Amino acid sequence: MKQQILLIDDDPVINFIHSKIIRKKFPDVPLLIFENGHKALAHLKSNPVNSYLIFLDLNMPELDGWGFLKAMSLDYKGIDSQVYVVTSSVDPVDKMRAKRYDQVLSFLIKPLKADDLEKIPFVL
Amino acid sequence: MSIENLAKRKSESYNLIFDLAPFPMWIYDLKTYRFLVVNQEAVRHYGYSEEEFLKMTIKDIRPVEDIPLLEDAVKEARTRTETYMQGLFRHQKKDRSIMYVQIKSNLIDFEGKKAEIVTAIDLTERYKQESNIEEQRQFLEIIGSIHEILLKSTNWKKDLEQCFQILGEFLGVHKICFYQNSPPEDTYIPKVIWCGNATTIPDHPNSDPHRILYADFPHFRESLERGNSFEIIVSDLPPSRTKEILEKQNIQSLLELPLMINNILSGLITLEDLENSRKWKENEIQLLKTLTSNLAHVIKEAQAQKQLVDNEARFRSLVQNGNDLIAIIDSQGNYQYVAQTSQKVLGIAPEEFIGKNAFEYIHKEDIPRLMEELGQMTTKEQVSIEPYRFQDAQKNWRWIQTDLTNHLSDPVIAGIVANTKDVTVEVEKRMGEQLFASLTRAISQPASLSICLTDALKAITEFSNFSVTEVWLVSEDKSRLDLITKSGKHEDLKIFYQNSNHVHSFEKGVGLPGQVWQVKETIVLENLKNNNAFIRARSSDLISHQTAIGIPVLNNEEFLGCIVCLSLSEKKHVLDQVKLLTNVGLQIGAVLKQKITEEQYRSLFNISPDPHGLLGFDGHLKKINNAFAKLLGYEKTELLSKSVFLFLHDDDKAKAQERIKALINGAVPGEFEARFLTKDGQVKWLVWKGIVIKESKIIITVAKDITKQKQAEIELSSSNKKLKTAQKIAKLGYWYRDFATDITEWSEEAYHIHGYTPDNFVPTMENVKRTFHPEDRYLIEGDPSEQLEHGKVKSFEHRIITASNEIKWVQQEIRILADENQIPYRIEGTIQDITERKEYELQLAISNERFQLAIKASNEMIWELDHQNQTIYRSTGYSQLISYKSNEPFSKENSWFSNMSSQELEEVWDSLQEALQNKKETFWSKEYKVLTEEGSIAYFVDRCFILRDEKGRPLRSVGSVLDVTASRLQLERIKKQNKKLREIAWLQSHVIRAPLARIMSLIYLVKEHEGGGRSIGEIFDQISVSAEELDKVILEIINKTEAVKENETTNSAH
Repeated sequence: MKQQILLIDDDPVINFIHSKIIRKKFPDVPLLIFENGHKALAHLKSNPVNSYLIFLDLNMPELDGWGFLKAMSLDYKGIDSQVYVVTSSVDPVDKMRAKRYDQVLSFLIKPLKADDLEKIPFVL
Repeated sequence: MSIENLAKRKSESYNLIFDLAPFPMWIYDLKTYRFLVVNQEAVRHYGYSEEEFLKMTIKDIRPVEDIPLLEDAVKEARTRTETYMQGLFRHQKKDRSIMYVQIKSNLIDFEGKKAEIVTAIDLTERYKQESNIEEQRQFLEIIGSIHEILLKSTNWKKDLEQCFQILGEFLGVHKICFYQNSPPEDTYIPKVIWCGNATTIPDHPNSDPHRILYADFPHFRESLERGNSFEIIVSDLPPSRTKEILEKQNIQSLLELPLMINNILSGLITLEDLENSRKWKENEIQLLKTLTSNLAHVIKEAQAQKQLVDNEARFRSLVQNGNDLIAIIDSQGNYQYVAQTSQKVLGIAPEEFIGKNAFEYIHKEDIPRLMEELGQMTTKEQVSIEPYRFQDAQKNWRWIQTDLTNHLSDPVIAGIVANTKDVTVEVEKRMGEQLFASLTRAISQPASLSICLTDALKAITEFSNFSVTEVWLVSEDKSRLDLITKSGKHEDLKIFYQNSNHVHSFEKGVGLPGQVWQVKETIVLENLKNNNAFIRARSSDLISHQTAIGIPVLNNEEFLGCIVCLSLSEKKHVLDQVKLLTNVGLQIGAVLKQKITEEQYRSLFNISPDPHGLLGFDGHLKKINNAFAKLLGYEKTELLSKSVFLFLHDDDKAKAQERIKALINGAVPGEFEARFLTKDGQVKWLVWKGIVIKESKIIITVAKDITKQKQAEIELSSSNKKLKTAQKIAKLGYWYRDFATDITEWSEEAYHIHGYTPDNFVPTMENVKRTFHPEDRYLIEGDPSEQLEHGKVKSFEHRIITASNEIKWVQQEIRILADENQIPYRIEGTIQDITERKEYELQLAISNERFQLAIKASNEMIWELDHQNQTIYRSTGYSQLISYKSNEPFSKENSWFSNMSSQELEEVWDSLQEALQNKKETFWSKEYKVLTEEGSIAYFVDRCFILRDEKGRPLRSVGSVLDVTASRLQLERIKKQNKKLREIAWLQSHVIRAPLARIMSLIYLVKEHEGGGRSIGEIFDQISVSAEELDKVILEIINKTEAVKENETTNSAH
């Protein structure tokens, strides 16, 4: 069983910065970037046996973060995954909404910092 | 020896002689009576010491009563000249005992005093012996004279009185009495009384004083019965009635001696002493015992003599006045001697028999038997001949019975002694009993009356050898006598009835039977051929009937009928039979009556339409009538000998068994209802009554079929019950009052409504009026016919006051009943408790009022839909705003709904219909828009509750419509504003934060990660792009905020 870190965000600048910060924390875990939910789901579908650490943006074209979470809770329940919502929104409604999904472990506000990753219990 | 000495010696020896003399001696002073000297023997004999003597006078040794004697003697001594004196005197010793002494004395001078020297010789023993002998002589003399008197006695009572006199005087008692025991009562009656001169005979010479004595002291009686006498000293008796009685009679002592005859206490002799408490001496008792034993003998003799005399008299009377005939006959029956009694018994003087033969007097039918028996006397000592007929002086046949004793060889008698007794009465009685028994047997046999009577007549014919016998009975209507049956010799019957078959009934007084009926006595008609009283004489003549006898059969005084007997013999030959039959006629009355009753009962039993039966004590059916069998649908044979319980309804068996038991044990027979099951299973109700005939262990039962009545009763009772229940449920009572009376009849429920019971309330007019509420009393006051019209029911509602002082509302439906002349005779009505209804009505009125007020006060429009009538009522709540009707038929096109858009109307209508059609739905609500009068849109919330019947059908819907336009518009505006605010918020959190976050990330990248591989220039470019993006977004937000503000202004202006 392989471990993978997925970064799902449509902003390439943010993706660049986040991947730098995450790689520093988990240098040995492969990190994949998807610019919308569809693409990420397609990956999960073709690799269901991996265990994933997912950093998910909410506001995205094609399939936004909510759509991704909904699809995961319906169709990919069996996949071993830990989801961290990483968003620029500070709206408390969004935070409450994200908590309804079991896979969501935490709600992080951009810009993501190294300190935020310290709290992640993702063990290799 | 000197003279002095000699004198002295002489004096001493005199002294010694005086002192030692064997007789008591003393010298006493004649003047003072004092003892001067006493010798030793005097001291010894009298018991006084010498010193005592010398202090005493001679008076002291004499009994007080003898002192005058003494004084006389001394007086005599003082004056007498001769010196010597002697005499017999009584002296008293120191121990007070008396002795008889012979005194010899000489006068002397003693020491210068005139004195007397005395010797006393004690003769007491001798004196006593002599007086005993004298006494004995006297006793013997008395006994001798008593013996003499009693031995010669012819009248012992008189003689005894003489004896008593001798004894009484001799013994010095005051009363002697002889009491004789009269055995049945065991009382003692005084028979001979002797009283001394001083004594009077007691008041009740015949009373028995011993009864009380023996009751107080039974041992006296026992002692007497053993043959022992006893004595009573009255003062020694313990306090008792006896003592009181004896003291009253001054009796001091009493002696009672028994008179025993054959060792049985037969009498008493009592002796009373009124002066002394006498102690009876042995010889006195002995004397009296001699008297009693002599007396016993005399009385016994007298009794035996009397018995002998009585026996003799009796025997004489027996022989002279007896009823036994004594005769001596020879071996051929010729009379040789006949005793005097024949005159008395048979009316034939004894001398008439002499020279005649006994067989001349004997009935010819008895002669052969008697001949034979007389013949036996040659070989036998004694023969007893059974009763046979013997003719007396009046030529009547007498039944006599004879014992023959053979004295043929006795030379004195030389014949056969015939001792004969007249047994006519016994024999006739026996024959009568036999005939009565055979008639009773014939009549009581279980057959029809005529068969029984025919058999009875056969018995009479056999007994009396009559030619023809008939039974005539009084007809049911008592108008005539009917010939019931006949008997007799076959040929005679044939001839007699061939010629008189037209005669089969007689009226009272007609013909022989009719005459018997009239006089209720036996009638004998003789010489029938020429006797006009006998109607069928011509027929009788053909058979040569001589005599006709009519014998009445009577039960108490009731004439049941008669027996007619026709005889070929003359009257004189049938008189015995007439006598016999007359008696039998009286006796069989009861039996015949019973048979007739039985016959009547049997006919009744069989033709009765009601079930009858005879039941054994075990419950088995012994006899049943046709009606019973028919009722149960069985054949008689199927029912007979079966237990009646087999045909009883199960539920009634136990009760019936108990009932039969009670009847057998003597319960009073009452009616009893029981259900029977017929052969085909139907239930028949029978009411029974039974009478127990203990002797035959039978219960006679009669029943009546009450099935129809019972069914009607059950139906009536059930419908009554229903009616009652209905009245109870409806709280409906009934009452009526006849105008003639003051009291109204109330039904149970009428009482109940008023709270009374028939026991504590009598519905008089006054009382009924009082139950009316005071304000409603005017209804009952005044003439009811003024308020009511005949035949028409009028209804009143009013208040009553119940027994417990509660007020109730009642409704009365009243009418007056009138008779055919239109005169009212009764008022009747129903009374119903409508208190609850009244209360509901009151409550309803109140709540209606409240409802109306609420409607008025409400801003809303209240509506009420009556589904049955399909009408709707609406309040005027929104009549200013919207045009609608407040009352109209309810349909889809009603005036309220027509203000809706057609699309909305469809929706609202469908929704309402759906709610109404759902049987369980009780609530409906809908919001809709309505076009107002002004042309604006108004929003309404319409809601209602639906009332349904038990099947879920809507009865009534009550709803309210609320104008919510204001709040609806407000809501719309807030909604829009919120949407804009949400857009701003979203822009703020997503659109503004996106470039901002990027900028912050880039800064973080530079600071912490040294640009992450990017050049500063590249990073600044990217920061600049992000900043411009941020500016653009902020402008956009400001625009949107302005739009919201504008909107607000417009709304508030509106």
